[in-house]
Amino acid sequence: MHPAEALHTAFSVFKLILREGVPVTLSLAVIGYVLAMLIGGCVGLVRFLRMPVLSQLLRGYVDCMRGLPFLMIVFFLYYVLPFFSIRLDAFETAVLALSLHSGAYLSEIVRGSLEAIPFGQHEAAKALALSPAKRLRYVIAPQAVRIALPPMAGQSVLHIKDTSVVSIIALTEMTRVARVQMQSNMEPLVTFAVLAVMYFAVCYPVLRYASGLEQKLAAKRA
Amino acid sequence: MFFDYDINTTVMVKYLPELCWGLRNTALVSAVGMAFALVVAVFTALARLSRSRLLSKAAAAYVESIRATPLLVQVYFLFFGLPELGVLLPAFTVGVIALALNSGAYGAEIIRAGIEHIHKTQYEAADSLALSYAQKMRYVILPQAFRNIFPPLVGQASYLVKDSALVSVMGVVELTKAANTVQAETFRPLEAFLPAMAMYLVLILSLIYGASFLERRLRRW
Amino acid sequence: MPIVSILDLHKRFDHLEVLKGISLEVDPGETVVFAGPSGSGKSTLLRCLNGLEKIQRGTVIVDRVNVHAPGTDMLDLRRRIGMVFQSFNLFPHLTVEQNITMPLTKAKGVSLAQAKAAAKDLLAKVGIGDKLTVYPNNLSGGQQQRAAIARALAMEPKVMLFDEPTSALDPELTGGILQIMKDLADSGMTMLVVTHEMSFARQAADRMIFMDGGVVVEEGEPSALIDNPQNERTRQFMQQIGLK
Ligand SMILES: Nc1ncnc2c1ncn2[C@@H]1O[C@H](COP(=O)(O)OP(=O)(O)OP(=O)(O)O)[C@@H](O)[C@H]1O
Ligand SMILES: [Mg+2]
Repeated sequence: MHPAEALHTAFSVFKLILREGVPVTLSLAVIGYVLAMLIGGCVGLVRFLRMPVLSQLLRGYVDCMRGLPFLMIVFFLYYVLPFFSIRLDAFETAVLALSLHSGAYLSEIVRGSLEAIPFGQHEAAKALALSPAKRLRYVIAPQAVRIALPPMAGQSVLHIKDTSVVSIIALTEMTRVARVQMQSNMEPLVTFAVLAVMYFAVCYPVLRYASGLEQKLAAKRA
Repeated sequence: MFFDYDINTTVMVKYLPELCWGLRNTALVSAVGMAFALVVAVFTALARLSRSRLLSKAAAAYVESIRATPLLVQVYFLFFGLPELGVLLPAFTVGVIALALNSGAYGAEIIRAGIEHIHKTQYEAADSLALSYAQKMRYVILPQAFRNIFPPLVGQASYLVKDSALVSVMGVVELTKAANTVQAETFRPLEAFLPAMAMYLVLILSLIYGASFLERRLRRW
Repeated sequence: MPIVSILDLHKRFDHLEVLKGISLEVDPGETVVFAGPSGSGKSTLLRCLNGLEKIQRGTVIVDRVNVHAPGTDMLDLRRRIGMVFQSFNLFPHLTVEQNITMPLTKAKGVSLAQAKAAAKDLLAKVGIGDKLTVYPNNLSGGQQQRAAIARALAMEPKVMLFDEPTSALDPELTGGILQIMKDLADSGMTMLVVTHEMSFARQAADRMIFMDGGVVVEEGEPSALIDNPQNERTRQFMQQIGLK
């Protein structure tokens, strides 16, 4: 193919993805991740506190999310929920799947960060007559947040990338737009290269930010 | 409500062989993918750690491009793009390539971190004891690196099995596609998905828990 | 004939000149203590002696080997120089015994049986004869440093380098290590020791060298240098040490 022609194709694919795909992908990413953080925070906290029964149930939930392909979770929700009179459209199903899946991973990050705070910090807070809630609020949680931040940023990249999978249930986001477009322009290399570059443009800065945070944290601890 | 759905065990049993076929393909594509991913990971890590700036930069660029783009896009790129370049491969092979390139990049980071994590004083102590380069690597550095690297690599393998579901978009009938096909034929999603999910859980969770077992077990020093 | 001779040694890290022309000689059996403020180049000097650092100018000769000459057999040289680090640097994946037998068998070609016997003997001498099968991370700092000294001695070096061997230890643990070093000095080992333990310098050292800013500022008999320093910088340093 002529370079100018390729450039032209690339540009029209880019415009199409930008117009029809990016808004949906961004909403999936943002709404899904906000919900995932809520889920992850609650689940992580409950498991950190080892609340009886609830803790065990939530461990089952986390293991299911970690132990199943994301696509399988999407299919399951998409085809099974209607049988129980829960009717969600493709977008809602996608948000649900994304936030349940990312939420489980986030809960592990939250739990791990809380557990990483040394025992001495709990004891010191106790010795200062702080109530359990206040110990968590003013002593443990603020330190845990610093530890949790880098992996949470890293997880957000995985989350953004997972949004592409919901294109398989016919939701028109970035990947689906490219996939459909490829069938009409018959230029798979150009089309998917443009798509990849667009994901890269969003994910790469976040990855760099995450590893920057991580290095800062490691330097502080050393 | 939940009770409205009667699980039809006859249907479940009847379609079990198809799910088992899917499981076989998932296991196969994952196992072959892991083997190649390991090779990719080792060579990429060596390139990254090498003194040649060019090699190191090239390896870094590869790792970052993989990590910053979705696997599904990589799969599409290879599956639809390779034929345009005149490379015609069966979908299964393309799946193995995609998984190996993807997991290989993550594996390379694990290997690199595991080696870089070893403090420079360990090299110096080995030097001061007159160990040759080969002996230093063989008896001091690599045993410690192995301990840092092996458990997270097993963890990465669990991601690879999870990710293998995406090769279904190329028509490979692995476990997810098999379950979805049964679901479409019978309109009984639970009978199709529950056994498939159980199979995945056994496969992937044993890798996840295996990794954390190894992590604890190898921490004997 | 001196066993260590250093002539006009210059060492730079990028643009930071750390050693600015050091010359000194050490005779066989002598124990020399190096003192000086942080950053004065003491560690770097020791590390130039067994080639852990490269140099820019000058000559370093240890046991008749020109350390930084192009064709020098580094392994042969290092078999004759033992080094003890501030942070012990035991190999965490090997037991205390293996920390000794591994280099002994691999770098010196001693048989495993002989290496084990040597390990047992030396570990008993440094007072941890009961820790053979323990991993280093399960030992106290003092015990780790004892093991590290045994590991270096097992190679039967002609010269021993000690870089602040007690400064990572709790005060109550330093005495035992210093006693081992004093016994070693009395037994006729050639030792170059960086330390701020003035009592050790008085009792065990033949000579003391005070360094600052990458040069030797003053040298002499230890007690004289400690009690009656001639140079203003040495005086200030001894005062600060004394205050602690
Ligand atoms: N690998 C290196 N790269 C760059 N600079 C270095 C390196 N090693 C040492 N330096 C610098 O060289 C100078 C001398 O360091 P050296 O460790 O020899 O001092 P020292 O006298 O042993 O001090 P201390 O009492 O703190 O151990 C310091 O300014 C140090 O920052
Ligand atoms: Mg020093």
